[in-house]
Amino acid sequence: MSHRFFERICSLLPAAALLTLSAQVPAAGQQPAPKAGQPAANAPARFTVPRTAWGDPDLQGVYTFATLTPFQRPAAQAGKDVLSEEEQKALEEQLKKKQEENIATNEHFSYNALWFASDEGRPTGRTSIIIDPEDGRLPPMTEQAQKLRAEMQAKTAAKRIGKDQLVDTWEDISLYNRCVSRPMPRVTQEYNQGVQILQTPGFVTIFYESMHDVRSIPLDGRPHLDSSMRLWNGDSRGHWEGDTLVVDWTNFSDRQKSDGSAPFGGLPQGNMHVTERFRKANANTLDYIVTVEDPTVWTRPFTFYLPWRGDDPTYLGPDDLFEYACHEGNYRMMENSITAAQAVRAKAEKK
Amino acid sequence: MTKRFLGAILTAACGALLCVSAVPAWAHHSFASEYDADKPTKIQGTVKKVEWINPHSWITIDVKSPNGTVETWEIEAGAPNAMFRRGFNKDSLPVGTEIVVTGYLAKNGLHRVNGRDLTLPDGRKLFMATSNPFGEPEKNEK
Amino acid sequence: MQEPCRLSTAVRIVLAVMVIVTWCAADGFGQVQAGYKAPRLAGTQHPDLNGIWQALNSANYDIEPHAAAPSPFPALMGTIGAQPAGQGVVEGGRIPYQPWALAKKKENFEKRLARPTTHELNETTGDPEAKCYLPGIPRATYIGLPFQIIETGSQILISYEFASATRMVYMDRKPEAPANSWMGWSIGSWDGDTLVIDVTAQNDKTWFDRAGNFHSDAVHVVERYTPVSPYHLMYEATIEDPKVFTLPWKIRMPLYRRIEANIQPLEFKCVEFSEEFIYGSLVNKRGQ
Repeated sequence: MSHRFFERICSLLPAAALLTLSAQVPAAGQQPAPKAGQPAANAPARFTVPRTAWGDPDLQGVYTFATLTPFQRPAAQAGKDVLSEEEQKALEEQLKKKQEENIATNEHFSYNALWFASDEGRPTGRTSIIIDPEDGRLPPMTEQAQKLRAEMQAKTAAKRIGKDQLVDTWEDISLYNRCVSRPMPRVTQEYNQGVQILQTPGFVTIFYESMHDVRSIPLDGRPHLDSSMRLWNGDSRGHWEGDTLVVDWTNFSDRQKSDGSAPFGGLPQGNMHVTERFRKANANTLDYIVTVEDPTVWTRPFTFYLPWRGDDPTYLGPDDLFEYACHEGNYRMMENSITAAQAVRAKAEKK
Repeated sequence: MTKRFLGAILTAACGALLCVSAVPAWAHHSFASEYDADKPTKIQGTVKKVEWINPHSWITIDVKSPNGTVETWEIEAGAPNAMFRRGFNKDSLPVGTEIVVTGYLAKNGLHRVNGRDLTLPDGRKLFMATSNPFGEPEKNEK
Repeated sequence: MQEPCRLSTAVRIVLAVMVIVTWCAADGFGQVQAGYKAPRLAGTQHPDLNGIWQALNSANYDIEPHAAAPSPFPALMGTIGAQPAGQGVVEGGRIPYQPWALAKKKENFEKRLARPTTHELNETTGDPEAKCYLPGIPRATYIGLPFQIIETGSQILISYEFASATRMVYMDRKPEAPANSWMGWSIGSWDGDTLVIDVTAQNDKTWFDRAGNFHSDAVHVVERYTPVSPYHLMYEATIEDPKVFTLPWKIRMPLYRRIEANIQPLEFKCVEFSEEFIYGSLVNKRGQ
């Protein structure tokens, strides 16, 4: 067997381990993960995943992936991957306190609670969304990626006069804010973290509230699109492994990048290869485990675990996923930004 | 109302912010490029139009200046989806309502403000986290 | 003089039957298979409309009858972008505009590619297709790119390649729209094997086509999708808008199933294609 084969298996082990673990944990945040060697207290019978009318595991529902758990493990939690319920509460309090300070002291912070109103989030019981590497943090970037990032940062810095970040054309605004496209895989953002899964024979479809994106994933084993075809949302192919939907995701556009646009550091996604695993842990939780590899950016693959919650009272049905027409409402933002930069430059020139 | 409610909301905001890695993951909304943090303002006027649109809602108000002329001001507010999920709809802020708005002025000199909070005639505040003006039940109560 | 054509009785009977069957089958569009019954969606009593569909006509140029015409910029693009002729998809041929609205439609057409210079102008002028704005219903159906129907027992999601536009059709409940939107609010039901979608709460910013045909935010659209063969849906939409038209009116067209092996939805994320058009006038040309 090739070295590559073992590499791949090893990179998927954390996912497999977590899937086994999550079968015993009734709902993210409600019960701490069982300690090694101890049966989980009050562990329920293993959840039986319902079937669709044609016999596929039924993952359907409206979910939110909002969470309080940070994507990367904070330094203060180094060496600790799971929190007890008391520790979770304490962390919540600490975050709350910090946020109150932030709002009280940070005059610039105009994005206050109403923006985040629906996305209360809940802790997952872990200290980070990343589960592999073991330290819960993104792996080191390659030299090539570090160089590219430094170049991007320099470019941004060059467009600054004092504290004013200048927008001379729409290209000086992130793809995210221009509403061109928002990166995949989707991880925690400020709001509108709703998703719906719909299933039809031969397909699993994921509808994302943010950017009203649709991924319709064929399950018939057809090959990926030609490698020359690059899509903002990549190209997905799915199959079932028992009750788990495994999706192979490739053909990402290299243009999805720039700071503000990508969840993992803002670098090009053209060589990214993603493997997703979806499994219902219980009636209200979909376990979403994702392995990301890109040898041009990361020195090794990483895996994250982001539960999708189906019991949020503000995400009860598809009508809670209101049309997110983003580009359509952007004129004033663009007008403000470009004319502001002109005003700032004119003022700077007069001096 | 609800320290718990406040807490839940603030922790969400906090969680979202804290999950950002070294480079800000999303330069969400170019506040810095549009509005001047050194120019806080407070204006009072009557609601003329409310646009419940994405990515940001806009409230247009008529402001009577001291000399009696009427100026039109646009206030940028939050994304409507979160508000709709909490029971708001297009009739929630009727035309003609007298409101006081605090926020930050646009850098380009246009009559635009990035709204920080909004006070209704009966004193209830909308965008601030310290109260819930629409009497919503406490969350997380057991 | 030629021998007169002689046909046996059997042949005459066969010919007669063929004529009768053809005559029965032909209505305005020629039903492809009389009495076609589509396969059922697994677990339901309803036809399975899942798949990728596309209109095949020039309705997006103009839903009324129209001749071929040059592109908006023939000096730049030659024949590319020129308009093909079309017999129109409006029943009765003409949209029943109120007099003020007909004048407005003509003004829309003249200014269809006027680049906005202010927010107000962007709101009121120019073809929203040029701006990659969500096209609304019914234009999304025939804007020229494929769309996918994702039909489950309780809900239908229609995903359009153009601008990644989507709309959710609620089939088993009737929630209320919290506000207007570009693609409207769709409540669906079945009338036999016809999918009926009632669309309300559209904003007033979308057009019916590139010819400037428009509506107000009072527009009410009722669509009907009827499977008439394994490869065709018959699509009808009734449009009512008391602020703009004197009467309700209807459009009608076949929708064709994309039957290529491994056909899948692709992306037409056109925001980038539109930005210079929308924002170009804002940019200071001092060389910054």
